[in-house]
Amino acid sequence: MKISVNFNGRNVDADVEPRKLLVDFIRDDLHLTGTHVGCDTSSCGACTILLDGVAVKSCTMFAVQANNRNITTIEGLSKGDELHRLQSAFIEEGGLQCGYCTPGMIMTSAWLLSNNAAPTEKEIRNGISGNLCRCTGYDSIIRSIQKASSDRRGGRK
Amino acid sequence: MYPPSFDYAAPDDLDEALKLLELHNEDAKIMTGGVGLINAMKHHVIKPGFLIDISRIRELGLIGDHGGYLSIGAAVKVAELQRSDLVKRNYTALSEAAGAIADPLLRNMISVGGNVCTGNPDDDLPPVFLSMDAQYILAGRNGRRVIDADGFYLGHMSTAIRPGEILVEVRVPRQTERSGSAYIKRELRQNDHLVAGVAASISLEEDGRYKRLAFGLSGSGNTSIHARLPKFTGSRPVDVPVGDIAKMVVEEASPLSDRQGSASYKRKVILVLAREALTLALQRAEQGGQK
Ligand SMILES: Cc1cc2nc3c(=O)[nH]c(=O)nc-3n(C[C@H](O)[C@H](O)[C@H](O)COP(=O)(O)OP(=O)(O)OC[C@H]3O[C@@H](n4cnc5c(N)ncnc54)[C@H](O)[C@@H]3O)c2cc1C
Ligand code: FES
Ligand code: FES
Repeated sequence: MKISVNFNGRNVDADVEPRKLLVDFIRDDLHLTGTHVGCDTSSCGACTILLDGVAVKSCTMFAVQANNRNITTIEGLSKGDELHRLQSAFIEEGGLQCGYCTPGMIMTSAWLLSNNAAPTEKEIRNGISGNLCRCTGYDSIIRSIQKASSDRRGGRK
Repeated sequence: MYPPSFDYAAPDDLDEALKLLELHNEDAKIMTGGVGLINAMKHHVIKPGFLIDISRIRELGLIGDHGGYLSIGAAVKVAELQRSDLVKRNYTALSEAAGAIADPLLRNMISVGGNVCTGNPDDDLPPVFLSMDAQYILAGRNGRRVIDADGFYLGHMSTAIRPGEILVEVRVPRQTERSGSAYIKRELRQNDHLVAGVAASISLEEDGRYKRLAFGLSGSGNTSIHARLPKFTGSRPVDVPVGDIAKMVVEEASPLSDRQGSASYKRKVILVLAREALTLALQRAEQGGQK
């Protein structure tokens, strides 16, 4: 089936089998490998992307469902070499160890902050409850998100 | 994990969707959010040959106050239901149940229609709809029919939807001035499978006596359960201890022993949840309910 999708501001036309998962289309066909696959069963959030600005799990969508819609992946957050303020904050606060969950964590956080510029710790914890991290124990992730929410000059808005 | 090949269409018009469904009936599945379907298809539990994605049909994506009732389109995402001020204010249990589903990302994906139509006794919206005497509107090629939520859940994963029908809307009767509701779900850990959930929905007479008192239960048996307690209509809340009412709610439940706990443990959980949900619903009703 022919689809036309805007990825990170660029229009992509493709002919895909309806059963092609969106995450595989992103990784295998577009070679945007920042979006990860952890569980493949809607639980871990490693595959989180923004669909028309809203965070969703791309392992639980077929690529055809994204037809005529806008997708942002982790690669679309930075502006050239200038990191998004969430990316800078994760580096500064040590919000990652192995990094497997990080793209998903950051995409979810970007959606969270787009709706609530200054979330409380509880709101952050609830907000990332669909994203699992096996390494950090979450505290440094929370601090990173708090830093990005208060430090608006650290990167692109 | 990949499902076998299938065809896909995303019509933006309901008639077109109904035509496709008639044409491919045996082999087709309606997809609204896709979360339930895609997981089942990945595991080859179901192998539809045709998916009809109805999420782009505009009229199915609306929440509105229609005077006598709240109208919720089948394609409304549960995140929208959770956030809606109208729902929070007047149908509090519904907002609480929507917010209890899965996680914030899946709530952006899961639709009201998918949650209602799966017929899974553990899902969170059906018990609230049951407790509020909601009606489901089903569309077919020959017109629409209205079915009470009460008559919809026939058995485990089995509903009254007939071949060729699509759920298009849920209608929840407008709550009176002095009404209140609450939904509480218990999980062992956040986002874990539920132990049980209880919805309480009540309305009071002008003088404070119970006018209507109903409960809905999740994780409490083979289907979502509706516990109506007409016995208490006309009593004053101070005269009937919340604990006595909760005991009668538990009698309607037949939970199964599983990884979440034994049946007797779950009965105790349901007792506590029924007490808590009723207490909250009463407080809300006494504070004025519908605004
Ligand atoms: C990780 C995970 C966690 C979950 N946690 C919860 C939870 O906490 N609480 C909870 O309640 N649920 C939970 N669910 C279950 C989820 O709510 C259901 O799977 C629900 O069906 C998903 O909705 P959907 O819109 O994605 O449905 P879809 O996948 O689109 O459809 C599900 C089923 O309903 C049918 N259907 C859908 N829409 C219609 C319609 N309009 N008319 C007729 N038939 C229709 C489909 O044909 C299909 O059989 C969870 C699921 C997952 C994967
Ligand atoms: S890979 Fe999508 S949620 Fe785990
Ligand atoms: S940093 Fe390793 S999973 Fe989160």
